[in-house]
Amino acid sequence: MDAIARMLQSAPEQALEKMLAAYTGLVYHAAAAVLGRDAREEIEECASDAFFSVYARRGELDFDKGSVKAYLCASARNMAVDRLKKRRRAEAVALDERMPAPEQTDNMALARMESDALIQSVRALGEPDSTILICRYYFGMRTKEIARMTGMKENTIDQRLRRALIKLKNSDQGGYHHAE
Amino acid sequence: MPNELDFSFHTLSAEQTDALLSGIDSLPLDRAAVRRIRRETERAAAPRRLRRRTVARLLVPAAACLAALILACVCFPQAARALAEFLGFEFRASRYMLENPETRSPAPAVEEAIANAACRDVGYSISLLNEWEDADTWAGYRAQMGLAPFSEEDWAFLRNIEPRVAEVLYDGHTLIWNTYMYADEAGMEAMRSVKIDMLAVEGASTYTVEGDPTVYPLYIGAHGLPPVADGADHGVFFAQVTGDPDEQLLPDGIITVTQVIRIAEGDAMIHGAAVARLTHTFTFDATPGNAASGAPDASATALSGEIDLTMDHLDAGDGAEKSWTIDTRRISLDGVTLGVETSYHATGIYVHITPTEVPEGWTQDMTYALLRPTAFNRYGKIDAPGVAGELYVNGERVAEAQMPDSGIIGELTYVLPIFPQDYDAIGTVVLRLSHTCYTELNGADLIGGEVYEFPASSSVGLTGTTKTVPLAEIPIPIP
Repeated sequence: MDAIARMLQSAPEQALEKMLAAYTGLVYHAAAAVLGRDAREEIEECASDAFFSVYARRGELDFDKGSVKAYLCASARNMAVDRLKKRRRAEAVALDERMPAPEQTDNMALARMESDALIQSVRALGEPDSTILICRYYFGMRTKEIARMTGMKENTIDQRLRRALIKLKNSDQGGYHHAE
Repeated sequence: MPNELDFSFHTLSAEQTDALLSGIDSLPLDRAAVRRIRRETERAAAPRRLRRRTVARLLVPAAACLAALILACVCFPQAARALAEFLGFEFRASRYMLENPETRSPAPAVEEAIANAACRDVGYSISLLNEWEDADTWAGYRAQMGLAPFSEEDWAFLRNIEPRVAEVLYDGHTLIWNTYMYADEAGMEAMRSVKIDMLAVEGASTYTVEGDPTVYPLYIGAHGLPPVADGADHGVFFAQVTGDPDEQLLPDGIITVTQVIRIAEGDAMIHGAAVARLTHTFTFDATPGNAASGAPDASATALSGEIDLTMDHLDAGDGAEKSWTIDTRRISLDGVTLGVETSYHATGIYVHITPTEVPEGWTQDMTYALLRPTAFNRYGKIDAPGVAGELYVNGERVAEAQMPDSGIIGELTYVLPIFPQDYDAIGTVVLRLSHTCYTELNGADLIGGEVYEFPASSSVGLTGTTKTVPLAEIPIPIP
């Protein structure tokens, strides 16, 4: 169990403060990846809801299975998906099929063992490629943002991303390849 | 042309998310967004301190105190005046509203505010679990918790619950209302025996303003169904919304509130125990509550000298596998200025304190440590670090200054129980702040420079010694 998880049990309000200080960026980008970066208000609401959800459900969550960071990011994504459903946008249909409601998430995700293999493949890409790929596809960050964060040129980021995706595809461990 | 290489991740469990995000501990985000998210989260989270169980706890001592007060006033008439004054200084709007209107000691300004709000019912509806779109999911929750399968027949009596808004108290900053829950004998017995419980559904309640079609979310903080007395013909559902200390909560005009209440089997804190949902709409007039009893005041208090600050430190990069330490350091207060905003309401004088200036190099940990609220314990001692406020009227200490039921981290708000009818008679009012630090904690000599690190694998109790020093004296102008 990580330090903030312990603090959630003994001093929840301080823990909330620490969560907000540590993970607001991660949680924001996790929601933004699903909702699209223009939906600023919705993203912020999802982020806020994710923090509140983990804080309020602290007695129910198993922090031996996942860190506070992981629960926050997973919650933010799920809430973002939930909002997409409500928007009933065209792309929500596709997401609806592949992303379960928040309350179903854990069990279903655990059942999907292929996710473990995908994660291994992504980690096996090595740094900085795995981080670049996660920032692009898990957090939905733009090339420019990743370039600024890593100190690399945008072209370099694009090239590395393309190579990483080819590697993943060749390893047959891609997640959801879909056409744009 | 399709991009065959585009890609997205499956929905991942927390465990898988950890594996994926290992080493990615933070991402950049602009400060304004961080602040907005923090504000919304804290707004939602902080009031949970006063949920159902606390509400229940509040009611019992309040009732006991009231009974003692009445007894004292009846038996010892000369003591009545002093006791009434004492009760006044212990005033909290939430406590007041939790008392039975027929037996509470009336505060004229508050009663006037309740009357001016002129609340009225609009309508209500009740749906049972089997009528919900996702009834199967909820049935699954019941099974997981070992509850009996939902039977409409068993819970049909819930349809006979009739909510009626009884009192609304709005002072421009805090909105509190009591909804009387009338029911048939089965419903009353279910409330009395705690077979059922009620809580507002998180994030579901809304309000509109007359003339504006927009539906706004209403963040109900404290809420719940306090114990129902034998012989009572209704239960009371209590709800409270507290706004930011420096902002008016609602606009002028007729406000229409729609509260959504979860009725649950046993404890409504257990999400999956829900058996029915009650949607109740009522109106009230916010205009009188927004009319402050005096022009707001703003001032600044510059701090100086040095102070021993007890600070928490946690590596903000990643909560996983990092340490949490606490220490006490001597910090210079030179260059620290506290902004003090004072506003005047029917329910008391609000004093909102924020750090408006801090010197270069001052950290967030220092701000949080400097303005962390603490309180006197039941023995009149302060045994935790932070700031405590005491109210002095005409040079005499009358009470510990109360804080509202929610607040913002790194800021302080006090509600002084001084009402408009007192303004002419009262003299000087001063809020004295003291600051407490740990000198020793769980055997670590913090004042001597040692750092206490919380153990990694177990929760620990805190045993320590403290030191309290004066921090500031803030004169409160009276209109």
